[in-house]
Amino acid sequence: MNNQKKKAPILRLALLTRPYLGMILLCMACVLLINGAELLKPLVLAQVINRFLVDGAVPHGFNSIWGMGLGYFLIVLAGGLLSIAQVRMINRVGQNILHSLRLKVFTHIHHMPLTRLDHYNTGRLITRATNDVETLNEFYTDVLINLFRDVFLLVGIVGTMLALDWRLALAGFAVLPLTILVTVAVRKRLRENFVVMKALIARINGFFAENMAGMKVVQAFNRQKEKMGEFDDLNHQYFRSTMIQVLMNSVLRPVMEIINSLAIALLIYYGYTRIAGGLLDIGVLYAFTTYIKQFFEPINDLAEKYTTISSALVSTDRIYELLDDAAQESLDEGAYHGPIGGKVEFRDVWFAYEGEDWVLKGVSFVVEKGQKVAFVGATGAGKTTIINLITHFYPIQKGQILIDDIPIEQWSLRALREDIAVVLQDVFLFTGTIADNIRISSPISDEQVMQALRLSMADGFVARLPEGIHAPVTERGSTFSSGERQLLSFARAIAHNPAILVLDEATANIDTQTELLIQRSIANISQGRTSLFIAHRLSTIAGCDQILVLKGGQIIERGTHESLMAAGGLYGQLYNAQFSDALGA
Amino acid sequence: MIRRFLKRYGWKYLPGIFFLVLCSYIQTLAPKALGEAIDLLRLPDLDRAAIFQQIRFILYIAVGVFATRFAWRYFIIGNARNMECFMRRELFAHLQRMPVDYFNHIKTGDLIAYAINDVGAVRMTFGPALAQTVNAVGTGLFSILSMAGSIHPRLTLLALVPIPFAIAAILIIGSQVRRKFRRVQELFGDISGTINENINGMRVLKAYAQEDARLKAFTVQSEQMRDANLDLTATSSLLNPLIQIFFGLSAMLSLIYGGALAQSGIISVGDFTAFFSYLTLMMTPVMAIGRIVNLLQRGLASMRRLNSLLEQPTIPLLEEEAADPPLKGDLSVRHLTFSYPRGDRNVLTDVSFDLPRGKLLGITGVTGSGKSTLLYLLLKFYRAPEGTIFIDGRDIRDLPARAVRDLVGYVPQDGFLFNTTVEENIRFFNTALSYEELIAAAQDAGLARDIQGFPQGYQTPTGERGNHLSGGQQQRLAIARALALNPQILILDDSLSAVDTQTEHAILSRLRERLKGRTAIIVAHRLSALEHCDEILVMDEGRVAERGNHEALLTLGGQYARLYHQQHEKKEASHE
Repeated sequence: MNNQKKKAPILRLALLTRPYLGMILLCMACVLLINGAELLKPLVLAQVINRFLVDGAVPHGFNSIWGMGLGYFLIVLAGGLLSIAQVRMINRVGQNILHSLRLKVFTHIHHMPLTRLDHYNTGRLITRATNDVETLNEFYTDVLINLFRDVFLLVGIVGTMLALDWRLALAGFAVLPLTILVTVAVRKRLRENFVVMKALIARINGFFAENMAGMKVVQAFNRQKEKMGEFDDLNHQYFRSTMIQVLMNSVLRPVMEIINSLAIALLIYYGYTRIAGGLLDIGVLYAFTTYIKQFFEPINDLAEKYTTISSALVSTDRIYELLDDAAQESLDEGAYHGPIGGKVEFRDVWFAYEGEDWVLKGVSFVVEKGQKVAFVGATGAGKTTIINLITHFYPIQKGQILIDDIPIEQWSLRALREDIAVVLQDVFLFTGTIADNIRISSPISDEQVMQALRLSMADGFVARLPEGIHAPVTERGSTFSSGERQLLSFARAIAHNPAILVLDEATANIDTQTELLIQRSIANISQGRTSLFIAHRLSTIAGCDQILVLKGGQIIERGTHESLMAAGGLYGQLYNAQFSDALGA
Repeated sequence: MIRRFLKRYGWKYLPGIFFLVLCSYIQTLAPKALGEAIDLLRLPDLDRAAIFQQIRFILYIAVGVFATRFAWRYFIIGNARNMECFMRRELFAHLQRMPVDYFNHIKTGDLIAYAINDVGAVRMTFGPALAQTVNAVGTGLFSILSMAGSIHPRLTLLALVPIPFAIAAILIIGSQVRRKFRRVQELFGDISGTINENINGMRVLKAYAQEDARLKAFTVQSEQMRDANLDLTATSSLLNPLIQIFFGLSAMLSLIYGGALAQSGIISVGDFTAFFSYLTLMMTPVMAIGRIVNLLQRGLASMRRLNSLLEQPTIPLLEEEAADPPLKGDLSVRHLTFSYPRGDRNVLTDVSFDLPRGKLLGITGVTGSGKSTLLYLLLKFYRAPEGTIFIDGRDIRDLPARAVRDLVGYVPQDGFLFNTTVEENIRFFNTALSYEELIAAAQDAGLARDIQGFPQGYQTPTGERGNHLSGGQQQRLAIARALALNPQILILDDSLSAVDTQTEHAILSRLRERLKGRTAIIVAHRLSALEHCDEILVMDEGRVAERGNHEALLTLGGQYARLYHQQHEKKEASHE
């Protein structure tokens, strides 16, 4: 990562090509030759017309019509072969740049600490890594190749025409301002309209998504007609915007044709007196009409590329906004690399996600190795935050967190995260098999996977699947019930054999049978290891060595179930006001 | 569907094709006109008038091309856009009339793909692909005719020899490019999927320190993507140069033979130049062939997909009538046994109950015990067997779905809100609803105070699926929406699971007040919601396992009592 100030996106794109400078120069040389071939073709024809057809020169070896014909073909052949080579080379450059950019973005995101990641919305991060990089792909494969060619061709045509007959050339160029004017004006409107079209199609997309998912409600309320009305409205707006596009395109493309013919008319008008005066060859006039036609292609091409270029610049800007965010964490930094024994201590910990907005205000507790502790309290009391701090997802502002009596900052992140297993409330399953999800990517044998499933009581439903532990898990595990997903996440935690288990119990609606399985599973996996629970179930809490009651970021009560009930404080109230609901709300 | 469209708007293609053919014809006049101009310039004594005439002719041709091209684009491309919107509307209308069951078995993303991608592909077939085909045939044919007719037939034949090879090359390379492009797209899909998953699951990855392992896997994917792209360009880079080389061959042959003809005066110099212009003119449609084939293939595939979707049976239209006279809402279910059309086992077995007007029915049971299915049958989302469900003594099968649903206020399990404002969600197109009624509905659903707390009040945007609101607020808003209908029967499908017990109590007691004299069915896992019901059904594997009111069921000491004690944790929960 470079530490200079923000650079212009165009410069960034250019800098990315630096390692491939040699190849790019070679491509440019190819382009020059290809363009040369392109420019030579009309000249050969002009020669044939002038020398052999008009002047009736005597053929002499290759200096004959068939020699010219052969030459013409060889020029085309050379141009063709060179352009194959050039396209392949420039693509190799582009694809390599993209590959390294993809890796860079991916690595960067993965090594960002959660403190920073929280500032980005997930959808935006995904867009950065997929769509924005893909936009650059279009830029490198589509634009970069043609950009040189178009610009050089334009310059070449102008130069050749001027060299052949500058007066005639200027006559031909007279239409140029008109071309540019029309192109710029209509294309600007087209682009604006295109933005509208894209927004409308996105809305139609969203409308479909919403209504398909909510069809039950629409039908239950008999609102099909009204929804159809909304759709018609949207569809009509879209239709109108597409018709604007059709009309403008219908003008833009044919208008070029008219301008082209106008230029040819001008050439003939201006040319005929000069031909009469012997100042101009017919062959050259013919070559000019060909050049004029060729002239419009790169102009059109460049105008079309404009959109790709500008969106590539926007994407580059966005990608680098992310890459310039220097916050990165390293997994292996730190004096202590584990293994972790299992003692956890908080000493007057103060923590805020943002500024002075304290979520924890002076929390202190000690969990000895092998002990079980439950955190209890209403939503927003700070329970989940404690979990986030134990694995050092966030740095604290005041106080100290000690693992095995060593400050958490001195542990490597890898040690903390490998030896402390956190089970989050919202279970996340990856696409792959059940075994893949238990392992994630750690070296864990099939036997160990089975063992973990048995301990977490997930073996029952996994055994019922035809492929067992190799059964596929679809996107986010949607084929499993929420109870089953939870059991799998327990198995995942236990398979990594952590010294400390941290468990945020889910409150989702789970039927009674699964509920029992989960209770047993929790009892199994927490056996013999330090366990911290954010508990919603009495059965979990009852077996704990210590219960900490949180309110407003502070521990207001602590003790065992019996002692807290006897004290008759908040815990007692919570318990009496139907425990699970009040906590779960 | 396409037939329906063609019947209504197909005529617009006729002027479109007419102008397109005319356009191709006028276009082929241009090279000849230029050639004649060159011949005029060669004459020893210049005929000014003739030259001016020729210049005017060239300009007329340009205007003609402009006008006809504008016309065909307007008719053909415009009509294809019209078709796009027509098809999307038909699709939406069709989906609206699909049974609810259908949406449980299909991914929303797939349906959107139909509406956006497939409809788009068909549009491309009936717009640009159609136009380019006609244009290619027209331009090619007129060019050949002009070349052979007014210049020289044998020269034309000779010049055309390499063209079939060019076309063959396009078709062969084109199909390979398509195959390789598909591979690139698949890989892009994979890469997006991986990134999506990793970013969404970042907390898990970080919690298990799996960043490096993931990076390794991603590197492989990214390399594959790079190689697939390079493989694609290795083939696609051949396409244009090969066509040019074949046409170069053509040009060489015409140059040698045509030059000889011109030298011996059989054709004029102007003809010679015109001939070359025709060759250039033919190159564009030939190059378009690859694109046309691609568009046609995709369009046909999409059309097949769309047709198979549209062939799925919809709910009959007569279901959309209202009942006459309006229903009152006495409900009775007799020996109802039901299995889903695709299913092989009974989801409900011999379920019977009576729910006269003004009574409150509670239903509980584990997931999959048939509670929601029962509700779906009452809403006519599925057809109940004959003689099993009666409303006001009439078989539900004889009542139009519209009439049944007008009677019922349904609150689904997930609430489901639309992405609009709080007010619009409660109203749900009910324009007759007064402001007072709106507020009353919100109050009775226990939501009025929440709404007052929102800075924008009733105009607060609810966000996609209501995600700007908390889960409890979403559920209560869905209840308000049902209440605003003023239904005879209110159905709550586990609609209070995300609110705490106290709020639940408050809402239920208000509802009992409001629903005096009306019927309600409450489905709940949490039994506290059912305590005041006149009758409670405990469902188990599709059967009514226990029934009675709260006290009776507690005394019974069965499943209900067990659940109740478990939820209240009066004793130790687990009976291991």
